[in-house]
Amino acid sequence: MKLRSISLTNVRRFAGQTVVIRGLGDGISVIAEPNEFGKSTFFDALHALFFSHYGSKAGDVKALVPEPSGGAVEVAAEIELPGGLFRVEKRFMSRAQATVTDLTRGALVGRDDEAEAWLRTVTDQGLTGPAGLLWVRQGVTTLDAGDKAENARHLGERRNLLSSVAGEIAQMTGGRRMDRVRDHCKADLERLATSGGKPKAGSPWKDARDEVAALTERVAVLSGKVAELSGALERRRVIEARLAVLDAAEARAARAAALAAAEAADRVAQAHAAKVAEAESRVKIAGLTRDDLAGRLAGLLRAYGAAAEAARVAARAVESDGLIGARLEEALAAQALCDRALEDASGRVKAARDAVAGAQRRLAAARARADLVQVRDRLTAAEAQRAMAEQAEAVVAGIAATPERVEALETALRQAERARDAQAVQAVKVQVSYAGAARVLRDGVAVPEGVVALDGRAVFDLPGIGRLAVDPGAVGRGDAGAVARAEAEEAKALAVCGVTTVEAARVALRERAEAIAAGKLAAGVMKSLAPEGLQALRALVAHTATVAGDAADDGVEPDLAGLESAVVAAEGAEAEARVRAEAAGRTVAGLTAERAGARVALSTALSVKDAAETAAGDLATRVERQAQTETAAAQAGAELAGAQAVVAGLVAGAPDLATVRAELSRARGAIEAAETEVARLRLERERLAGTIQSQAADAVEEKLAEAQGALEAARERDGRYAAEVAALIRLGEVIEATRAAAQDAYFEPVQKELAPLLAILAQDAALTFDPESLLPGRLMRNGGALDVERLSGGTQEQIAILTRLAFARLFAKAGRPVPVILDDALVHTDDARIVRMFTALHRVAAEHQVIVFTCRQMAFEALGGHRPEVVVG
Amino acid sequence: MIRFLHTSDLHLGKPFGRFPEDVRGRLKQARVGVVGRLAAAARAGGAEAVLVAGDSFDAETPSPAVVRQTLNAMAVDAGLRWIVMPGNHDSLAASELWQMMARDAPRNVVLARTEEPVTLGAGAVVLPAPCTVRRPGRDLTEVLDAATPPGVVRIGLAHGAVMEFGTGTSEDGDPAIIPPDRAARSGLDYLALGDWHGQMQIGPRQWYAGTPETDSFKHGGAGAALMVTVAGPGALPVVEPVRTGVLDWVTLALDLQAGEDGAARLRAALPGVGARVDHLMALHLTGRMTLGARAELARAVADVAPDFLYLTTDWAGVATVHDTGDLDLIDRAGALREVADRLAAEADDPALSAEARAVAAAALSRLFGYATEEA
Ligand SMILES: [Mn+2]
Repeated sequence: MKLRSISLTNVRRFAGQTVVIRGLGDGISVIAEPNEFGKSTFFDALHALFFSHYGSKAGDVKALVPEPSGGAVEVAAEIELPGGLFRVEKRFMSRAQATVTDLTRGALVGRDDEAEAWLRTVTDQGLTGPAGLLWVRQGVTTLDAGDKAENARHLGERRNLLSSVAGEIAQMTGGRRMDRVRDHCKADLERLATSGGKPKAGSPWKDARDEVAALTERVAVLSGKVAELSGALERRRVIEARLAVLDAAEARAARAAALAAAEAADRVAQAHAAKVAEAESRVKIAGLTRDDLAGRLAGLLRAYGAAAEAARVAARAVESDGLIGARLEEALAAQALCDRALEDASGRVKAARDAVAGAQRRLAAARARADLVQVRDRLTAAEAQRAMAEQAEAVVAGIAATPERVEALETALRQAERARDAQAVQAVKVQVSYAGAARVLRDGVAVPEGVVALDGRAVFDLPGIGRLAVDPGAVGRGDAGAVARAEAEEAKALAVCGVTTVEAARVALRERAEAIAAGKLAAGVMKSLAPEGLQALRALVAHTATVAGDAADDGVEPDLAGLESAVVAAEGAEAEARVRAEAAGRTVAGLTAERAGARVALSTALSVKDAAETAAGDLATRVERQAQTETAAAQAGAELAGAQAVVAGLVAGAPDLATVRAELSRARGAIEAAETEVARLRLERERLAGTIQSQAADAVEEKLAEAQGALEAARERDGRYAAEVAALIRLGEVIEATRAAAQDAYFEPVQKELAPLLAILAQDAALTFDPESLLPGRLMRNGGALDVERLSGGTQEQIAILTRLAFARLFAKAGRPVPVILDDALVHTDDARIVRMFTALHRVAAEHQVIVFTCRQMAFEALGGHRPEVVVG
Repeated sequence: MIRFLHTSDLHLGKPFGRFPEDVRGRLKQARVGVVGRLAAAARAGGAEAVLVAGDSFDAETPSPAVVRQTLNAMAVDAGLRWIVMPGNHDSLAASELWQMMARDAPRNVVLARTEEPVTLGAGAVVLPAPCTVRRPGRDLTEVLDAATPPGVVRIGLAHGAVMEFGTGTSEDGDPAIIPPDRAARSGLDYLALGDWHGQMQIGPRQWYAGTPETDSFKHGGAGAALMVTVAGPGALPVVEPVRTGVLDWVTLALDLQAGEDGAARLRAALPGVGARVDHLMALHLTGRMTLGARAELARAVADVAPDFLYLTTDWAGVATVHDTGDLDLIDRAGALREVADRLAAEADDPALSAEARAVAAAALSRLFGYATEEA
């Protein structure tokens, strides 16, 4: 397609005007106008003509309306297609319409929507191009349009471009179908697996995997239980078998028989042992019998000897007793004589002592009589003194004026005196002196000469004159209160002393002292008369009187000394008599004791003799008995020997009791062990029954079988998912690998077209493409590589344009050259580079129409090319 | 004449853990009801007893609820006798189970826990060979030699695999021990066998009844029991299968060739829509399919799957043919086609591991899906 003319009516600054560009050539056409001319207006209007519906009121259309006049906007263009020359017209905003006319044939192609449809077939063949392929706007620096939707559209367009320019490229990259398959595969994989190919949380695969784990666990647990159960069942079977064996009648009978046999053997052994014991006891008895008889014989002989000896001893005792008896008789007679003599002597001593006592009593009575008068006088005097002392005490008690009290009275007296004196000093005194006989009267009484002290108001009668009243006033009366208080104290002290005047008090005090002195004197006299008190003195009087009355006064002086010597003589005789009597007593006692000993010895000897005789038995049979005993002893010895032989015989033939016992114990043990085992097994069987019942009731086997089945199913499911994931992963891998290869194939022709263009710019420059965006990714230059985005604005702009030109060349090769429109595109490019870009444009212009709008008239001089006419009218 | 219903392998309480919750529920429900259906079948056919040749229960210790519900169902028809023998799953080793059974069994239920013969009617005796443990390792059926009064019909009751028949192993894969001529050897008029979950005749007088309610795809179809009539001692038994199962387990094997319309073949082979709700389907696909055909078949399968109680598809036997037509559907040329070509090459590359090839094939399938969705 080629643009031949462009016509704008009522567009922006061309309000109410029509501006036309005519004569657009095949190669490069340059429309160089100053900036204010509005070159962008042409670009925008063309864009609206080709891509905006005639009825559109979108922003890009509205932007064409002139301000402020407004009105309908008309855009028209003549385009040359392989099928001829066509005119496309659109009127926007008001009375909007579209028209396409075939100028070659002079026929209307279509109006409005028909026109739009026709136009779409033109643009769909690549006119829109990969955004910006045909349309290179002012200041473009990147191949991205900026907004997302726009980019997506551009990406699609690039693909379309490729498919249209190189038939198979779309298929080589797989195109959108490939992308969708890839997305589908990815989505399905992501639904099941993590990026690492593991089951994804929340996915059915994970569920299956978890179920496998849970069921594996459950199967293990249940297997354990089932094993326990079958173990328990097996064990119970073993127990029951064992119990059957143990409980079997024959087994029980055999055990019982063994026990019976052992018990019988034991009985036999025990009976034999009893026999042996019996025989042994017989031996023992025979031994004892023999020993006894030997003892008896010895005893017999001893008794015979003892009897003889006892008889001798008894005879001696009888004789001895007789002798001692005679001696005792003699001693007793002697003793009687001595006793009588002693008695007589004692009588004489007593008489002598009585005589002495009588004499002493008579002497004492005489002395007492002499003392009695004197003692009685002393008592009388003492009692008198005592009365005096008591009288003095009574006097003292009757006097209240003690020295302390009188002292206090004196003090009160003095204080009253002082009080009165003090009052007197202050009192008004009146000196009375008479010259004549007339007298001053006071209260009717004549006042003597001298000083009259006034203690208050006083009225004096002055006969013949009148009355004189004197009032001393308050000062003149002095301290009357103090006087009264002192006088009251004085009165009180007097009362305490029991007197009315101080003189009386002093007298009473003197009387009291005198009474006290008199009392003291009397007490002292009494003490000297009766030092131990009156009571003792009275007792002495009474005693003395009694003693005096004890013996009559016969008037003879007793010979006390003589009497006392008689006593001494009598006592000497008595002592001698006593010595003798005591000696006789001792002799008698000695003989009496000796006689008692002899009697005991005799009695003993007789008893011994009797016993010995009894022991020895009848004298007449003694010899015979001895002989008999000797015979019996010999017989017993023989019997013992016989019994011993019997024991030896029995012991030799006895069964081994220990063996028999062991056998019995074994038989009993066997039964006991069997019973114990039976009991234990029954107990265990009970216990097992519990386990079995609980597990069986729980149906663990069923549960296990069920869990095993479920596990198998879960494993299958897990396996299916795993296989699915493996397939999806593999599919993804192959898609990615194929896609990478296809993209390489896609970029190849672009690179091929781009290479000479890039060479114009820089000798060794090369571009790599981003596989996702299908756009230049990195620029390789001077052995280095840089992201396109990081290049300078000028370089980015140049690469963007060159890439578009490369795409344009692909179009051309596909036989569908399209116009390339640059709208003030090389703004960032310096003058040196711009020339090289012009070269590149010329290279493209050989096959493409290139329309350049620019305000850089000077800079674009070097571009050369055709300059079409711009007519405004 | 004696008539009884021969069944085995009820596997009551089987949990079916492999299946989704709702399917599990219906599978269990079907098992719970099988006792009642057996009783009804016995009554309807004029049988006087039901002989259960082992594996009444799936586990040695089924839940008390399962045991009680089973006994209660047996007790409903008090005039019908049940002779229940331990199998390998519920062997005598399951002492707890058999104690509970012995304690709670109604009067019409006989527990054949020993080899002691059980009198069946006037002229017949059932000789049980109960399983002592899960794997006895010896021929338990030797006890079937036991003498019986002359002139009675001898019916053996045993559980286990018969040598030289079937797969040569038991249902659980244990070695076969029962001699193939046991009935003849022990002079049995009929040997009621249990263990094999499918119905099978092992000779003129020996039958496996199979499970009355199918429990796996291994033995397809609906469960059944055997109505056995023995005219008298020595007479050949008359054996008629009686359906007792409510759920059909169907394995549908489709061997497809490239270019074939798999979806059409599938639709043609499926049961009528009304019955599908009681069907468990296992699609076993083999052959060679193009990506497109495979995707179409997958869509067809996904389309019918909700009709069925359960539907599982095994694609493992399907080799995908990567023909240009399919690849053109992805893209005729270009990068997408390049991806498809690379994956197709990988999927068919014998130098790669089977796993890597499978991954590539799956990736290609995916790509095909995405690309055709796009188109
Ligand atoms: Mn079974």
